Amino acid sequence: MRQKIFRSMGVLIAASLIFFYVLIVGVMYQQLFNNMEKEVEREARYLNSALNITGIDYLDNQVMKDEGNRITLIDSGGTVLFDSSEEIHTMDNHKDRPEIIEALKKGKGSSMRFSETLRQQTFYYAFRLDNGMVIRVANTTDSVLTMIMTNMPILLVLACIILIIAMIFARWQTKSIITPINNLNLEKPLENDIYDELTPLLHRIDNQNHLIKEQLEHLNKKQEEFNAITENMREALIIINKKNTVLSMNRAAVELLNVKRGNCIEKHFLTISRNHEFQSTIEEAMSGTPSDAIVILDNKYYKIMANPVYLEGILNGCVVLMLDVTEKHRAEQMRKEFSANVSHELKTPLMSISGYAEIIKNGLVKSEDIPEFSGRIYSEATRLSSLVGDIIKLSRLDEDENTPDFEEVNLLVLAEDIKERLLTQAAKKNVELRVIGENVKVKGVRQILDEMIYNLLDNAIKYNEDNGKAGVSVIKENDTVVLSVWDTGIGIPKEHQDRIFERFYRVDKSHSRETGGTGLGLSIVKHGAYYHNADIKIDSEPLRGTKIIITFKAI
Amino acid sequence: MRNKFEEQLEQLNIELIEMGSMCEQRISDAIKALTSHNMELAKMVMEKDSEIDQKEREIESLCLKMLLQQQPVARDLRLISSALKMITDMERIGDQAADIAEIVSMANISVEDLSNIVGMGEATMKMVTDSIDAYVRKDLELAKHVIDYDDVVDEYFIKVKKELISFISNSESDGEFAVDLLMIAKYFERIGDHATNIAEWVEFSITGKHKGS
Repeated sequence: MRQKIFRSMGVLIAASLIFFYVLIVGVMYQQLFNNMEKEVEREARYLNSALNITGIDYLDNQVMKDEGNRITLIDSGGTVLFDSSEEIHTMDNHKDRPEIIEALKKGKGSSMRFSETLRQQTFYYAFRLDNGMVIRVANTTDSVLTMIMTNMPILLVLACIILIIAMIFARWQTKSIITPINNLNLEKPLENDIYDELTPLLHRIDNQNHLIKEQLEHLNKKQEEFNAITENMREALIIINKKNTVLSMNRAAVELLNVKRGNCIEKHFLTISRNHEFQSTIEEAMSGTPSDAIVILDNKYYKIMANPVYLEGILNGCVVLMLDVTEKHRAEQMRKEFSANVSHELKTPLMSISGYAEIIKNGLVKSEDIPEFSGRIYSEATRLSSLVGDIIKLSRLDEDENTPDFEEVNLLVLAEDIKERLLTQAAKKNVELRVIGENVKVKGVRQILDEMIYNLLDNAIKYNEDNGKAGVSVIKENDTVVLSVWDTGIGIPKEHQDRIFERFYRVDKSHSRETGGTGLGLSIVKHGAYYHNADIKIDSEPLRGTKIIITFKAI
Repeated sequence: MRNKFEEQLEQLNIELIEMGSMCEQRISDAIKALTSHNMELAKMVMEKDSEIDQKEREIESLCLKMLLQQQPVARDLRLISSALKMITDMERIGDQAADIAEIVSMANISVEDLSNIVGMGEATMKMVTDSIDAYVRKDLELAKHVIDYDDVVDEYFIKVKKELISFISNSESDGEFAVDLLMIAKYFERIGDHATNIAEWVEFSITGKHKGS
């Protein structure tokens, strides 16, 4: 802007200077020329009358050579008779000069001629004398061009001075115009006190400010909503553009992938995870088809879903959603194992029963062996029936519907009762049973509690050494009731302790049939404990014994 | 000009990570093949070794192109020169994973207790993963950790060696597969060394100081 003002000012000043100069010179010159013309004419007229009266001799006496205007006398034939500035012998015939021709014809004549270089111009005025000769007066002056040229240096110096002054003035002027504009408060445009010409602009700025503010607020709100959703969801969310650069990831993603957010945004996806499955899932999404896969990271299972993102019909990146499915995966695994186990466990006794029965049917058994065979069939059938019973109990505990009513149960009395029932079994291994503790009641389902304690004590006898000891203790501790079943048996190795409550899990897989049992006992105990909101713990050491502690809430 | 250079640097970065993840994949496949006697997997690891070689050549030519065209200085030069060294180590890791796979596919390894050699394999795997992670995150601490972790792998090697010696002296069967296992252990140990090298070059690219010098 300053440049522009400067330039236009300069051009204006220069142009006006030149224009005025040319104009003034022109006018002045015209004036001078007119004066000169009149003077020449007057002199010629005077000479004319003088010559007419006194004759040619007047010239020789009166006119000084080389002074004032040039005076020439020419006879009617064109021959120069007298000249005030040149020798007459050197001069040629003047008959063809326009002013002479005119004078001879009309009595007087004038003409103007430029010198060869155009530097000078000469004005001629001629009169015809009474004797037929012609007197001519000439005045030579500088031409307009010469006048302009000779005055040029002065003009240039003048122009420079004017220009410099004008520039200084222009600088000051532009500064004083621009400064208020530079100091405009654009935040609040209407509060400025400045040129009226700018008011419409300021109004427009004000309007735009409002618009921008509104849009910003809108965007911020949107962003906040988006953040609130993504940051608080448990699923990891990663947005990737088509160059595989990570655009954004939420908190869950940062946690799941165990990275720092600053290290990932605007980085290539490979920087976050080099997992092969992950890569191929994203590649597939980038090719336009939604895809999902299960990946294992740090021993955890994640389901990843990658969906392509289209903007105006063009593939622009993909959105990756990541869910932790470890629990689900494990549950599924357990369910699969359970159904495989159930069918196996059910099949084994059935196969023996049908085998023995087939042998008897075919008459291959001697009649005295029949009791033994039928005894085996009977024991297998019992096993089968207890297995089915256990499975039914477990599935009942799994379902929360048809819950029997809770009642107050005295655990010590219940334990005594169970001990009586197991005395015969204990006697076989010569295991000493003890029940100690206080008379405490808990809220629960008698049948399930009975089952739990029975299973535990039964195990305590089964997995005991001969001549060992086993027992139940019921103790009230603050607001909890602790029921523990202990034995001096073979114990459970550490690595198995986590899994013994799983269905059909056996520590010693090869000898399970000798001890009997269905493999579901402890699972029933665990489910029973869950059912009563009780806590279950195991404390065991191989060859020293096992203690299973169930903590109920006291009434 | 500068923008193009930035782009090339980013590409180099990505290619290096890709190559690193290829190496990781090969080692983990080799370990899997060893533990599950999966001949198919072992063959696949051997066949895919050429992919890593190909990648090495690609990265190498990219590095040379950058050195010639962009004439990098200071940090960029350090990055490119350490990349050139790292890919050599990665390529060796890939070769050794293929060698392990080859032994697995040829030999009939019937030792019941593979826990030490598998532990060794996992330890080297961790070293490779960590060294690449150190590169990705420009994590100096992790790089140092990898360099220190080499001792663990070396200890494993000694353990495996002793185990195999006692196995040969106690059993009547021929010790052929024991030698094979020792070779595998040696390869793992070498992989650990290469991972250490990578970590040292990561350190160099960050600090400008190399351990060896």
